[in-house]
Amino acid sequence: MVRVEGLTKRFGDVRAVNCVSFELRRGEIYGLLGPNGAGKTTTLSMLSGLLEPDDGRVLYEGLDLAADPLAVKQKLGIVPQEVALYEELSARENLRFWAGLYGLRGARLAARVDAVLDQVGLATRAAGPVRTFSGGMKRRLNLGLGLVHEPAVVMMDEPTAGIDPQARLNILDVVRRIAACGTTVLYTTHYLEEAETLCDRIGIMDHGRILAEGTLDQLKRMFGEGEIVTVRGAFDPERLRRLLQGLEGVRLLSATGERLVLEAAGEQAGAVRLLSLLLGGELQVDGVSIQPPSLSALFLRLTGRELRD
Amino acid sequence: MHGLALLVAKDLRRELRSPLALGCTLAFPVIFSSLLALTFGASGERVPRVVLLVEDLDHSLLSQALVSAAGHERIARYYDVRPVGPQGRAALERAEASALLRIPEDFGREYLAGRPLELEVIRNPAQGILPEIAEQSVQVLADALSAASRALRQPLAQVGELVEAGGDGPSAAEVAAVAVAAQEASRRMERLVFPPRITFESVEAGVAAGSAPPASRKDRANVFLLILPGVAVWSLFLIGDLAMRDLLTEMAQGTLRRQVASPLRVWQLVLGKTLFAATLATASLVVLSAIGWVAARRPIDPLGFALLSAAVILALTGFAATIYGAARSERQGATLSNLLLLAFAFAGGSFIPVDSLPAALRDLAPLSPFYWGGQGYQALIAEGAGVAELLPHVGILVAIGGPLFAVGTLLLGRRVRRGVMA
Repeated sequence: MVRVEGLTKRFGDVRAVNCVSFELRRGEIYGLLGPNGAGKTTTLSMLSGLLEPDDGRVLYEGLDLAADPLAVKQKLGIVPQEVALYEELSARENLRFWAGLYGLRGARLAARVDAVLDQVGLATRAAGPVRTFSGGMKRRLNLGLGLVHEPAVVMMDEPTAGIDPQARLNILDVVRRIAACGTTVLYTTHYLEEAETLCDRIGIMDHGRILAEGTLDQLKRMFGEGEIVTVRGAFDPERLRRLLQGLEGVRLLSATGERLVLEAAGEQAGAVRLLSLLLGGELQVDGVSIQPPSLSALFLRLTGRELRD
Repeated sequence: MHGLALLVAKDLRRELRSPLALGCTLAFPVIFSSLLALTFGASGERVPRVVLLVEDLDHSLLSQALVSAAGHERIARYYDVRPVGPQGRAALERAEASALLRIPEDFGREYLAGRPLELEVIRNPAQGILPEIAEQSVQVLADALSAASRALRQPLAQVGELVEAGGDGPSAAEVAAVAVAAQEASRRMERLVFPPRITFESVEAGVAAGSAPPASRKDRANVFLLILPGVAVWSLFLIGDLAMRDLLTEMAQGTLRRQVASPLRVWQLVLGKTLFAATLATASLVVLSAIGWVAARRPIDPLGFALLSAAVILALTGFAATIYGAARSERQGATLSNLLLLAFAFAGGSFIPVDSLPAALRDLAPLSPFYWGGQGYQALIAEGAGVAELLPHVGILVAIGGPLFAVGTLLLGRRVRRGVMA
């Protein structure tokens, strides 16, 4: 459905997106997971035709975005991270305007507007000015504007950022329903639980690269079943390295003066030995946390930092 | 085409839902012009001129020369000097003039003899500013005559003797003697001294402001129409500015980014906003013209009006597009635009008539599009100008607006691409 090949974008000396490649299949929800600044929005901007890549290309059903941007844009829906609405207009007027821009007319336009108002739960508030809406309602309308012309592919850039749990559930429900109807969804988020529960496949992105990609199960299998042990305290990095050298099944993922992230594999034997070492007073420890295998643990293993970092 | 229509309709709908800024901008020229009209105490069809009645009780060569000089073209632009007889006072009491100047008997003889004289000015209390202008003008005349009386004492005395002598007229030698004396006196012109030998007394006519019967509408001057065109052009430029600024507002609120991701080209988005600015300015122009028509009630050349309006709208959209295409941010653009619009408005005579500006500014006035717009509308309304008379105004506005429009839309297109992609 959508093929991304070697997409690269530089801003000065910074490679915001570095040779990113992946594929989206029809009707799937593909989650692009990464912390702020990972390059998700830049990738999405290039896929939406808002930003020209320095290298690489994007193909929509074989159609090159760079060669025929208008034809590709016609098939795309975007749901930007910021709430991009006309606050003076009503929800219905907003939807009618955007549907019109994508060429919908007459009865089809009216039917789609009504359908989307129902879909996002705003049918009863359709005539009121958007400026009187709550944050959650605006988010839902923001989502609806990206769906009103029935695009084949929808790009959603953190559509649930900063809203209440109920509105979030509503949005996730809409995303599942459109995917079930055959719409392909590219969904960026830094909420692990959203990616875990919503997405069919996940690409983990950091520093402009996709570090790993697959279904949740595939990702877990790909990177083993070891626990992630995070230790907080005050450490001398050199001394620490010497101590860990003889410890079988323990791999240092990242280390700073205040925090260690380690992977302890092998049916908890490594973790037990590590804890014995820590409790033996060799190091000053203020806190320890052990995470079972999960997407969060996987992200930590791949990047050495948590998503909220 | 459909996309452009959608963009313009959307912006107009947004403007109607939040009309305060547009309403204030539209109301300003009407309120400003109305206040000035109230201050001047006049309304009607024509631009205001000081109507000065002159009752010449002397009928000498000198007094008649003074009245004739007032008919000079340059003076006649501002003053309507009407010689009257004893009925002058009655005309003033009917509020048909701003003031009545009485030239006393023996004015010519006494002046040539160098004796003190008094001119009498009777003001119309029903008017505000115009009688003051009349009074000040007579004061200037009195000062000038006084200065001339002192500087040209000898030749004036000689002329007086010749006039008194009567007979067949002066001989060539007598005329030559007067000429030599005048030349000699002119060398001493610097030595004008005060106090003046001629003074005048200013008294109010014994009519209450409210009791004067109103003059016919046609005969009354109209400050409203003098001021409205210039201020209206200024407010039209402000409206263009508001509309084009909206492109940067949309950029900040993310809706422009969304539009760029739709199957519209960037140039369509820029053109859409430009058309919105033009539509809003046209609608505003219609409202202001309707108000002007209610005040003037006189036909104007429709083709001339349409041509001039199209040129003004081209200039204002070009100006706003250039400003917001070049500005780094909405705030920077708005600041720059406000400063330039104010400078153009003052230099172009939108607030103060060009003739009243300092000489340096007066020379700069033709550089301002406001000047050509304001003068053009004034010519349409006050002088009944047609297409031929308006062609210079239209031509210069197009010459200013055309290149600005081209450069501005290019800059805006680049600005949009950079802005949404940053």
